[in-house]
Amino acid sequence: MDTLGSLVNQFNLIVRKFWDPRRKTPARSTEICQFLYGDEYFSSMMANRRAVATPEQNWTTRQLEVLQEALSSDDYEYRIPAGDNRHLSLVRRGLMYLTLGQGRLRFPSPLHRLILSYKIHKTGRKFNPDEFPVFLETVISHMDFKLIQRSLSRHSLGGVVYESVSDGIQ
Amino acid sequence: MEFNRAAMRTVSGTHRCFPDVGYACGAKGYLDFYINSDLCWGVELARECHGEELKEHVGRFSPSVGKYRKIPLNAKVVLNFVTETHYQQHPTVMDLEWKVVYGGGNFSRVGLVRMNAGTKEEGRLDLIQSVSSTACSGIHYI
Repeated sequence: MDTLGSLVNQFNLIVRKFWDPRRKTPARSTEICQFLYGDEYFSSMMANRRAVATPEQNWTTRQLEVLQEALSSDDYEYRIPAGDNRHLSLVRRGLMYLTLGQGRLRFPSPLHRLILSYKIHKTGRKFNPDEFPVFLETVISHMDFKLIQRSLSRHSLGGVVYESVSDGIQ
Repeated sequence: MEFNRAAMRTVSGTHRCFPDVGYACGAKGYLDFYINSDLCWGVELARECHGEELKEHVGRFSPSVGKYRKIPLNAKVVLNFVTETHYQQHPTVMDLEWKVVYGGGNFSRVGLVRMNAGTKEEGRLDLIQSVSSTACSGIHYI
């Protein structure tokens, strides 16, 4: 009841201060927060908010790698590879949650996942002109070895192989 | 297709990977893949090529007579995908060629062989399917 009572009191205070019809401009949410929490708390809260708003500036390469891996799956959950500790810094920063017991990382919501994927797309890895070998190595490491195997096996047999209908190729 | 998918995943920002580039630049042939913007990288793919066939692929980049001479390129490569058996039979590596050697059970191992300043360099990308995108950090040329 105490909590409810204090909430009601706060609400009444806000209504009295900010819903005054004599005000020329509508109250902003930041103004309400400043009123509720005081100047010192408010300034630290705003500083944190700014830090969260542009997290990509502080992302390390490893954090970017984990995020890119997690975003490459369709779901907003991501199974952590065994023995991989790179995700812990992301959990500490609050960008992802760790589902204990299942070994899965989870974005706070599908919307978080969407925003992060947009940010990753914007601030993702940009190659310099002299990084051609690095680019090639990365691309080769991303290629599906099963498709390569099938392609090379077919080629070594003269290119004439009738595959099953389930593969979509006759 | 698989190269295109992997390249699109790798490049970002203003860069894009375009397949079959050549006509717009007035070239007579079609380069397999081209990364645009300030990079201007050209990639030609080959499959178990050696001898004259491989020379023909590399010759396409020749600045005087090559099919792709009109395409502006800062860097170029012929990626030759081969099996370990094929590499043992044809170990020679040409300039501009990168041999991508697949081996092991179920192609679980992949190696890279290329020429650098006249000497052959070999690198390994072990267990590519389990390390996925982080594999590139594990390459060590010997």
